[in-house]
Amino acid sequence: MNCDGVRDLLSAYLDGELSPGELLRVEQHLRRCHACADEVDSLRQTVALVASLEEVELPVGFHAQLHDRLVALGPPAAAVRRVGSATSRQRQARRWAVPAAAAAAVFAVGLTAYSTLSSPGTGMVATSHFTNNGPVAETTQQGNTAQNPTTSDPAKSGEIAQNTLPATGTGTTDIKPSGTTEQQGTKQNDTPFDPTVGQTAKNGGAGTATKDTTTTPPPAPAVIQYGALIAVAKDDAKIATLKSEYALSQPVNGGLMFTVPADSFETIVARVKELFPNAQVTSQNVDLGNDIAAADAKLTVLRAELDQLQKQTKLDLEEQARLKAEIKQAEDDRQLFVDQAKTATVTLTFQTAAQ
Amino acid sequence: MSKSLDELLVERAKRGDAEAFEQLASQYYRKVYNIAYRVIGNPEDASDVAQEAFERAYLSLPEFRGDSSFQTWLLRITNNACLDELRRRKRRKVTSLDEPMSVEDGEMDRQLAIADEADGPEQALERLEVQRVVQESINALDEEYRVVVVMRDIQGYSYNEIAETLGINLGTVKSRLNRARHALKEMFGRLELLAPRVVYSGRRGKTHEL
Repeated sequence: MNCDGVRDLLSAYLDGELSPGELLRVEQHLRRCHACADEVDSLRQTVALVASLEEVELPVGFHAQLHDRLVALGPPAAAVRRVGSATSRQRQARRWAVPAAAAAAVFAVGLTAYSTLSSPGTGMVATSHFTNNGPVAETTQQGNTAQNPTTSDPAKSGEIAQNTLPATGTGTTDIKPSGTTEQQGTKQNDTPFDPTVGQTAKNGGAGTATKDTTTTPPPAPAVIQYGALIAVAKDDAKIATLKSEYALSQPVNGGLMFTVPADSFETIVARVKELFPNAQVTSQNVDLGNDIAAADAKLTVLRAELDQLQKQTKLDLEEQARLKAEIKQAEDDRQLFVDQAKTATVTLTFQTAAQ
Repeated sequence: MSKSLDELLVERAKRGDAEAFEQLASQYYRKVYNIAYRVIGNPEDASDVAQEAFERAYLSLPEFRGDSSFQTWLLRITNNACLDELRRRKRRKVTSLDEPMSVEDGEMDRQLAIADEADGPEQALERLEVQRVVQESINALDEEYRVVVVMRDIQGYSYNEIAETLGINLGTVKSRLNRARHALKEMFGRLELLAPRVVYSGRRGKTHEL
């Protein structure tokens, strides 16, 4: 065996993780080759140096601080349902980047207002609301103090939005329609699982588990991604029917999750109830308001930084380029949330026998 | 059919018993914090990330099915939280080996206080200096490499445990660890932290350095 072949095995050799055959060959080589023997020795010392790093103490107040954070999230099962787990929300944001584009395309056909709104970083937020009269698509802008959301001229809206960035709670409208936001999407009020679901976690400071740059969080306007959790009796034929009608679905733990454009939410929920008469529906709305507000705040900071850089007498082009790339990334991140809000999810969970 | 304490606590926690979760999780506070500390490289961020990891575990508990041990599951979450933080940071700036490590004086004092009292203050300081340099070298590694080195050489997990925790296969663990250690070896060599090998000639009993 030559030195190159041996080199790749040295680490495992130190840990006793070689097969008997490999061990034999390595040992034979090391007896003859000073260079590799040196290498082993250096590696051994390297490992020892790393291992010498001492265990550190928990910082003062760690216990208490974490306790407070957990308490703020509320009891585990309720926390998940009310806030939408941070990881699944982030996972959602990433996963639906592609289907959301498709969904948004479907959107644009029915709701012309949306088609011109997707320019990134304009601070525009588009949401659908469901009033008791049926789905109503409204366009609102963050920072716009108008009380009556109307489908305004897209070109103008773009301008307004630009000027009012950042929109962290400055004169923002509560775009929640009358009635509790959480219950809006589902016509049903029964929540057999968890009574705390009805409480809006609109401002859940605890809800966003992401570290962000906002300091004081004034209530961010609610941006609801509608969702429903529907417990149904397992029936393969009916599920197949549903799948044929709603293309985008994927298996999740113990169930099946459909993703639809936001304005199809009511329709699919109605259809599920039609197919499964004993279905139990629970609202699973996710409020993305804080995430979007945080993303906006971050963009503001970054843009201010870039502005500063560009004003310097001694231009640092490399740093500018880096910052621009970061801004682009932040805009994309923000867009993911916006796109996510344009979709709705309906998750069927399959009940076995009586529950 | 007895269950481990962890299993019992997990059951209770899944039923919504937040106290049970804290009881369960607090056994791992120090470990998770230390992993975060060594992978991320500084105390402030480590604390945030460690807490983030526990929050995520808390929120994902309904999905935990006991396929693996609670510890393995928790460490996987910890690892992901660390990687997320490192990637977030990467988008901000490029850290170089020449950057001073962000250990505040307060932290140094604390570590000094904990240091072995049999050492004089000078030795303690020297040892801390070496540790600082070693940590900076780890900080210079890409995130995937940092994690395996920390888990193996600091935390002492086996290759199999590492593979299971990180959700990668054994071969990947081996190759990453190999590359990480070689990279560190190079850095330590340049920093003159490695002693030359001494070879004893068997026949004449002479020693010569190579």
